[in-house]
Amino acid sequence: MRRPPVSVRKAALPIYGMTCAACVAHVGEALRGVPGVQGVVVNLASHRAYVEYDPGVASIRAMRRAVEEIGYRVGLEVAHLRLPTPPEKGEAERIVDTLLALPGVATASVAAGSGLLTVHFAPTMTTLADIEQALRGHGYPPITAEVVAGERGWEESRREVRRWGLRLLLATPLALAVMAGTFQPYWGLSRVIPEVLHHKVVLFLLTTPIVVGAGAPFFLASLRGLRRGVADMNLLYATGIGAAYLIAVINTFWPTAGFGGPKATFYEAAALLTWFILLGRYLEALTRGRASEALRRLLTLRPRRARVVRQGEEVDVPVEEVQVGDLVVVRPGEQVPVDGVVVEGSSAVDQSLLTGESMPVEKGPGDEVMGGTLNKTGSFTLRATRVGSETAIAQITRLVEEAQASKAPIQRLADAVAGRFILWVHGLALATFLFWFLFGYERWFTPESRLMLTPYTLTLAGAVGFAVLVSIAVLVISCPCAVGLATPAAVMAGSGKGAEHGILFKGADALEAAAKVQVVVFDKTGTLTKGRPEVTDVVTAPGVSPREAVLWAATAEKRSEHPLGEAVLGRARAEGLSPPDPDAFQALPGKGVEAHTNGHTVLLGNRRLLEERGIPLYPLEPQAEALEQEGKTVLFLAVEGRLAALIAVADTLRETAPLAVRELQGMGLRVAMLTGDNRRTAHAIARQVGIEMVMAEVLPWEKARAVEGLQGQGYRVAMVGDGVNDAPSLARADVGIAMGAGADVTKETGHIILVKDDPLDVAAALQIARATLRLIKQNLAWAFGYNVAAIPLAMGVLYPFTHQIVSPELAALLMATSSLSVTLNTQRMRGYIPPVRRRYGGGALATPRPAPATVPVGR
Amino acid sequence: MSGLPLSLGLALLAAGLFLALATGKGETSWAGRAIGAGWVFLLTAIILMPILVPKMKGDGDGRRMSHGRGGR
Repeated sequence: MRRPPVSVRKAALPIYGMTCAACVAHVGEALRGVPGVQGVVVNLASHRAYVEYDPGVASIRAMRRAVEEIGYRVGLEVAHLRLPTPPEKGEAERIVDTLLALPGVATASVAAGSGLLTVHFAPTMTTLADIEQALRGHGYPPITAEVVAGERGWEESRREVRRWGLRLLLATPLALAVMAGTFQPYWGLSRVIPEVLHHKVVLFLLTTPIVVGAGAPFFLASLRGLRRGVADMNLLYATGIGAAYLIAVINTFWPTAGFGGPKATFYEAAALLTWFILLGRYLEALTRGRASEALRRLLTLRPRRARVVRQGEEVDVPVEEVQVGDLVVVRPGEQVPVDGVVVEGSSAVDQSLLTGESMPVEKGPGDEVMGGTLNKTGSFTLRATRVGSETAIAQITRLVEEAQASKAPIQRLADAVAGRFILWVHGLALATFLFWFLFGYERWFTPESRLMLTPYTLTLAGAVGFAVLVSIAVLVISCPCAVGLATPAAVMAGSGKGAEHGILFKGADALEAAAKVQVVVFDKTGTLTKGRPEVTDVVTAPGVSPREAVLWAATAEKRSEHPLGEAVLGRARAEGLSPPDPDAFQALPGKGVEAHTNGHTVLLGNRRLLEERGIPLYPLEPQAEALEQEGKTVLFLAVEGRLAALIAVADTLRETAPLAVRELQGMGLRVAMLTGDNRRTAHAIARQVGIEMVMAEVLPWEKARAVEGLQGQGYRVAMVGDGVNDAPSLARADVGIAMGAGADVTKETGHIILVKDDPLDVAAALQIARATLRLIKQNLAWAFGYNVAAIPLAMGVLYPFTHQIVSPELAALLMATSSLSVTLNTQRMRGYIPPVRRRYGGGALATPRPAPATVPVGR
Repeated sequence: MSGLPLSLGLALLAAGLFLALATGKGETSWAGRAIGAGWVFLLTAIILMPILVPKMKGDGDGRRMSHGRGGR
């Protein structure tokens, strides 16, 4: 996954007014045309343009202008801030310059007399707090700020649903009346429907508000687009509806014009066409809104206020004012305002919305708590460790937002096709029209010709009228309005579902790649095991006491950051020993450590280390083998070139590790374990968790090469690590999965971040990814399927045999069905629970888990 | 010449051709001829505009840039 160079800035601009894949292509082209813009991804479902640009050349203002020039809106917020005293002219200019230097600020101005500051800014890049902070830099104290017009993506989605819903509401009774009037003489309806409704002028009066009222946005948008040389879906709708309506009007007022005669008025075609398109738009808006629900939940979860201890008293302040190090009191039923460590009190905290754990987690002094989680039972005081944009919830929101704004590789193909589709469709409609006018009509037309699903015969249709009708059907039926929605809606649903379970996908490409994985490699320590080893045995050579051995070992490991060192130091602490600082220390990655203390050289590490130094192991060899047989890691301690002791260390296997391995194998995946342990102990652990493919004695820098080896055999590899020493191998793998990120999600390398440290989440992540890719493929099939299958039908391929042509309303029905299918299909993801979670539950397990076992620990 | 008038001009030409063709083919109804010509004009304009407008705009920008460099 590409990372932009340092000089490149990222912008997420909210873009409104996009309705289809063609709009996405146009906005993308407009932004790419801005000098200094280096990369653009536009996402229809999240209303976002994700831009990488050189801030020295391009500006938000230039991008906004480019987008608005082609008729779309950039959703900037407008903040009005009143400065306590109106600044001097020079100071006002300096304030404006400072604000314009903020990444998301498009414009800033200060009214000279009143000191009213107006700022247009992209809320996705700059917050009100950033603006206030910048003002503080100019010596202005915190001031009251008011955001006048805020447009969040999901707020816009809600408004969009309401707008299309209202239009649908207006069109529905009128369309029903037009249908009733049109079919009044047929099927015995004349007994219940008054004849006046069948009168052409009445039908004209009923249809006109549908077309020019409810359907007006299509005409206005296509006119705006055409003026700028942009063809989008609106144009297809407008030409389709407009032509059907025009023919109906001609047949009403000039019945001999040759468009099917006085009985073929087609008002129901224009009315139903509009109604179906409105329905399609309404459903699309609904899908977009629902798909971003996970994000909305995260945003609404953000705490607003905090109770901070200031000079011994609790003060209620806005959460933006909490500083790192502040003591914050959290009472039962309250949201934890910021990330921190509990210093006093204890409680059960519901973390479900951030981690997916179904049960509240007990927290006491020393435990980390995350902002946005809910305090259930007791009161506690925390010391703030992360505030503002650094909190876990802010990071998770940002990651989910970025993932939803990104584009899956499969979508790039769909967009490329859909972007040019409108022109092809109009070309096809023109070709169809000319064919039927020049050749087809004369050769195959019969007066008994009918429009499918209508009572009309086309007895009086002339060559032009017939050819126009056929080409309208081509226009309407070809409309791939659901294509633009098919992939992003699925990606939003999938990444949102992941967030619900504490699984964060760093982009749509991560989702797609995870779905295609064939081998899952676990880096043993910290993933299959808890990564918190403990010393279990100390075996000493003659003349060395166990206490002495532990002191030597702890001195050697004092500066080490390795989990094994932690275990040895833990043992020393438990025995009440205070190891001195070594005079010199060197970590020997994959082997151990070397230290000098009080003139002695101490080596502590694995068998290989001592063998390389030529130190004989035979005095304690039988004991070492026995400990290894028990599945423990043996550290060999040598002082002054002589073996002094064996220190056995064991890690605890995570209780869900065997279940996770079994689940992954059940999904048809090969599961491998990678470890620095020797082969014998590695195989012993692998047997315990059910893994057959073992890569043992792998040094840290060889991990990436081991992944490469598997890729060289043609496998698509997912690498699971706990983030320590794993960055290269996580990056090298097709999918890097960082486990147990906790509150610090964005510092993790990897394409998928698991907030919890449960290996079952690896299976859940891959299951969600597979479900999402399946959804994308199904959606694309629904979106394109109807069009591809129905275009030849609309062109009249069957007409010479059946003497029936597709009516515009049937074409519209097929088109709306396509949108409906995508919408309903995407909705299925709402109720999706990864099978592994259905089987074993979330935080609390539904089935008994095996008891934890001890395993050796590798360097 | 900018893209918009060129597209409309070409679309008008196509409509004229259709009119001639329809008349030659014996289409007697004036409404039929007019609507057919209008339909050809509309579809041709819709096809040409998104191709020609950005292209001509891009060429224009390119010319302006090269003039700028020449001036220095």
